Amino acid sequence: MQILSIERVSLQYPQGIEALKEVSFELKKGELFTLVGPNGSGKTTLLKLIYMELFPTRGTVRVKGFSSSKIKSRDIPYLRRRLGIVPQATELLEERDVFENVALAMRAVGGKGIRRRVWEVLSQTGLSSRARSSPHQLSGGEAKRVAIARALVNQPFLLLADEPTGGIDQERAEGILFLLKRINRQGTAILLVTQDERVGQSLAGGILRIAQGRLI
Amino acid sequence: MAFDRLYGIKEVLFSFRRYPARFLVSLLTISLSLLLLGAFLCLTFNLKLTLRNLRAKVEIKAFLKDGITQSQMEELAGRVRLIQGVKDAILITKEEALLDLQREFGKEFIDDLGANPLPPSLRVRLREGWRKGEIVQGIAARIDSLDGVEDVEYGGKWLERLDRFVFHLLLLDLILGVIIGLSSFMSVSNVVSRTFLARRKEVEIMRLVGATRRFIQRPFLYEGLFQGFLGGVIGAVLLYLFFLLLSPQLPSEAILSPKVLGLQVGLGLAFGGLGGRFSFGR
Repeated sequence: MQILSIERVSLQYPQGIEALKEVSFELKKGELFTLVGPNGSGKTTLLKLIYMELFPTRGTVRVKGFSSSKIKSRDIPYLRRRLGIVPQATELLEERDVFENVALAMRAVGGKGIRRRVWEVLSQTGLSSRARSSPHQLSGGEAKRVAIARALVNQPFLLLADEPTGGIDQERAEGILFLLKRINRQGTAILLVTQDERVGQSLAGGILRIAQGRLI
Repeated sequence: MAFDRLYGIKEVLFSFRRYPARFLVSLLTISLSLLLLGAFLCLTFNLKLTLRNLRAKVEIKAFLKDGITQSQMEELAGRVRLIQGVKDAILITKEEALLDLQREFGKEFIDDLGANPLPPSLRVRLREGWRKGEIVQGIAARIDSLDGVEDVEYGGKWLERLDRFVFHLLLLDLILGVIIGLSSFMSVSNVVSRTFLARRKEVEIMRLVGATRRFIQRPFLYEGLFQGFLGGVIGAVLLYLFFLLLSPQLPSEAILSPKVLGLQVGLGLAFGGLGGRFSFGR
């Protein structure tokens, strides 16, 4: 079952810079894909098109029942509730502990059974013992796990992860990749973007390569 | 919706607990700003009261012809009372006029006069809103045209000067009001906006996880309303205390109306709410 379809998508910024050119691909339920490309190749832009922070100048992005050519701005939050987004900058709230950082994602959408679900996802991501820690007490790898836990807590069908292993050491990066593989095995589709070719190989899913806004 | 509201209130309390210094500085800025606005409103209120009292003294004196009978005078007074804008017309006979003069200048002065030279008259008081120069002039002209009236007097020049003075004073008051009102609004709105900027990261996260615009906005709106309301209350209390402190030096007619204090709190609430809403819009 197809959950994401990107059909001949191009994005040109008003200054005339073409960030993406004729990009097409599909993702089915439970699939795992890694999008590999150098800095500035359009990886993050493509993720932003999927969660409809940006819109294509040509082509269409379809995510389950939502289409970039038809969606109304008031419906975008409802699309994002069904996606899990791990942004490149981890963006944790310093004044809230790990539990609250994760719970915030559920509170924001009026989720039920917050306590139970947050503990569940903290345990899934190996953060149970850090629930009451402040973000500044966490290592880089743990902070990335919190961002993943926050993205998972609303049980998305697709997880979009932007450089989840960026800026952390090899051992911790492997831990993150292992966690993502486990999440994928439990049924969540994943699209991960990275500059590191080895990440794609390690995840053992499909690999897409992007350069200068084109899939190659 | 109820969940949204509860979450909004919880977030406001969280923000105050977490950043007490920021909260107090914001509150102080809003309170001082609203104190200034309240002081201006109090001044305006008293100014208008003084002007109203001054205008209440505006009246027309109609001197009647000598030899007019009592019944003619009463009939004339009745006709004057029917003129639109006239509140009352009091008949002053020759004798009463002489007694008034005696009260003012003494019996010796009256004795020196010999015969009573004073004509009977009508003291015409006008309704509120009918005490402006041109209107008074019109009413005076109508009274003057009535049979039995010798002459009318209404302090035309004085009234013209009063009208001009009131016009300029109210214009100045309006300009000052707009400036102080706007600066108060901008100051309150700016304080509320800073709260929003400090929590920009949180807003970004909320957007990413699928919170609706209304949900994200609510805590900022509540915080703005709460700070504006509390700032208004503190500003009103400060204004009251200053008024008590300064009242020995103020004219005895000066008052601090509860309306001014209420307006101060109301404007605080409105400015805070609008500040919260605009900061989010930006």
